[in-house]
Amino acid sequence: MSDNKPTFAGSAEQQALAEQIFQLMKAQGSFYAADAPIQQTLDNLADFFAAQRKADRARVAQEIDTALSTNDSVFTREERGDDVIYVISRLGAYRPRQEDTSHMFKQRLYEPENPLPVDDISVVVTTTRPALTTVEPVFISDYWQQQAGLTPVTPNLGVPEEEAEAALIAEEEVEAAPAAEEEVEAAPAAEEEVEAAKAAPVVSSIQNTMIALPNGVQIDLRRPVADLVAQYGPTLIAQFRSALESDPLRRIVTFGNDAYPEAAVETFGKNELRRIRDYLIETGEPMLDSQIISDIFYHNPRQPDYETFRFALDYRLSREKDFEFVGVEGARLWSTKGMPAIGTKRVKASEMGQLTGYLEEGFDDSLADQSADAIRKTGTLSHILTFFEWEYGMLPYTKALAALLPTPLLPDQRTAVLRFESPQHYSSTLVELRYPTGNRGGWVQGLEEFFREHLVPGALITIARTAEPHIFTLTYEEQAETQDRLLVLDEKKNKFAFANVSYYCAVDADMLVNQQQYGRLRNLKSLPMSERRKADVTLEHVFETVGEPVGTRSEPRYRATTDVLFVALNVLRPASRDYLTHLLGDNDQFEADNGTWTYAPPPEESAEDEDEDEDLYDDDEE
Amino acid sequence: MDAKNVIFGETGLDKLVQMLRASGQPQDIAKLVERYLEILRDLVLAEEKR
Repeated sequence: MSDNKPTFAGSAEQQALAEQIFQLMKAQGSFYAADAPIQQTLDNLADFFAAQRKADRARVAQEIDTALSTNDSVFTREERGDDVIYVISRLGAYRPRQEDTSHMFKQRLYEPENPLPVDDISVVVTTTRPALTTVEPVFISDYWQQQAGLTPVTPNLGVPEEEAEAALIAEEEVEAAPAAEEEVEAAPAAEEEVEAAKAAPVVSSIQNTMIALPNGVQIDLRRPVADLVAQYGPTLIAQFRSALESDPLRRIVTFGNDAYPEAAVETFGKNELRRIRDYLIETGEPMLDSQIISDIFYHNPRQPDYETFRFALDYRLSREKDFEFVGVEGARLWSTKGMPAIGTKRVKASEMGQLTGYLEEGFDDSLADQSADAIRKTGTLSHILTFFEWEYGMLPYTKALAALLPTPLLPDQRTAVLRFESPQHYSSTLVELRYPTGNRGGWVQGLEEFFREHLVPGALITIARTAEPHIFTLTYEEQAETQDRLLVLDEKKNKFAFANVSYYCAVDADMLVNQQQYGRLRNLKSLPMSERRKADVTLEHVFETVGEPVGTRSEPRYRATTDVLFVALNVLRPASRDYLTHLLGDNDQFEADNGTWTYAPPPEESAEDEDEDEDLYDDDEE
Repeated sequence: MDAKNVIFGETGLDKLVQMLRASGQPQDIAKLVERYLEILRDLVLAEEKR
């Protein structure tokens, strides 16, 4: 770098002086950056050289000024007040540094005058695959969007299509202008707009307000928010929810339909969670969040942060493994591990889900007699109990029942705990509503004790909504005492039998499982639940038991009406009439015959089985 | 902002968080979506005005 000596002009004396000064100033700034300015005043230089040469200072100053002014390509002369200052750099002449900030990352990221264009995502091809599969927005080309009517067709600006543009703009004008002025103003307005359209790219501004949702749906932000919500409301909410859930920063968290910033949600320590858990176990039943807040945290609903605290409690508990949300909208109930189970333990949840699976397969005929709207409007539902429902204290979660009972609040909620009150007996029962999952049906359980105590199979019950979203009333029509021999299951022997029973409720005579109508049912085997799940096998057994034998011993045949089969099949498992009809029609061994059905069992193969059949006949004849 | 660069559920979310926090209590998600659409709309239309 030191080799880059500038060349000096002027006489030999001036050149020597300029070079000497240059070397002097260069030595002065030897630790400066190569292009940094090195400054020196004329006074200092004159003092230095006058002392060295022992000459007149004024004359020396004159010589220096002349020599350096001659070499103004190296020495920049500045006058500041009375001082004359010369500026050089170690490289020679001083040139102020030009900082090129046109490609700063900050500028490119935050202040794009013209951001990098995203022309067409379809042309971007990558050969790498992400390690984790992520849901990416689907980009649809403009052509197909226009074909599907998602975006307005954009006329080609290069081709003069004035008529089309005028029509488009006139249409917009019609929307904006009052109807009365339409005829008068439409023509001039259209002309003005046509000119404006030529001047400004109206069409491109329409496209610029279209945003794509993650599922590919395009919405125009130019439209009023109310319109967008009215048209795409559920989609927008669903997409927004999923965006919040997939946000790595989890900036906004939700519980049910409420949302709040995660950073502002209070946290609960292990000790506080343990206190909640102990309290729930001590109480023995699910509790409302408001009750937990008042009893454990002594928070008052009048406190300004009450709703925030409530949200925090619900959200934090929903993230804990030990707690399960069993509430509904308007009644946020919490349960925990170790609490007493609600409902029968005789049937496993997985088996019950399979037994009620026919509802999810499309054989739900519960709305044949009363529409879902009527149920929602009146808030009541009437239902005739079958033997299985009565025996196990359950009700299948039919569409009719779904119209009455609340829907799950959380997307992954499996159960809800409800309270059924009996105004006739001043009692209440906790019931568990199991929501359907996949191909498994839903049901309500926990009514075993109430049904056994007050009702019989065939009883007509009415479930009605109350002011509380999780409380319902269960009523039935009372009547004078009636005695009958009704079907019961002897659990010790695991056999069905008829026993004398007194009851005080109104019943549907056809659905009452008494000895007079369904005497053959005492031979019904109480099949294990694993067998009852197979509806076709169960129906064959039921048909053989309840059907009237019309064949011979070598070629047995049985005949029964659909009504009888419906009652009998519902002894072993829940089934709708639609499902029964489907099962009968699906099997070639069942034949329809003038309103009745005939069943011809397949020929027996082994002698052992024949003996069993004979035993059955013998039982029947007794 | 160019509407093409808007990512639904990401763009303008910080503004929504600020608004939600300032409100002082949890909000219904349907109302939040409406507010969010307004934020996006302001962003996009502001670009258009420029």
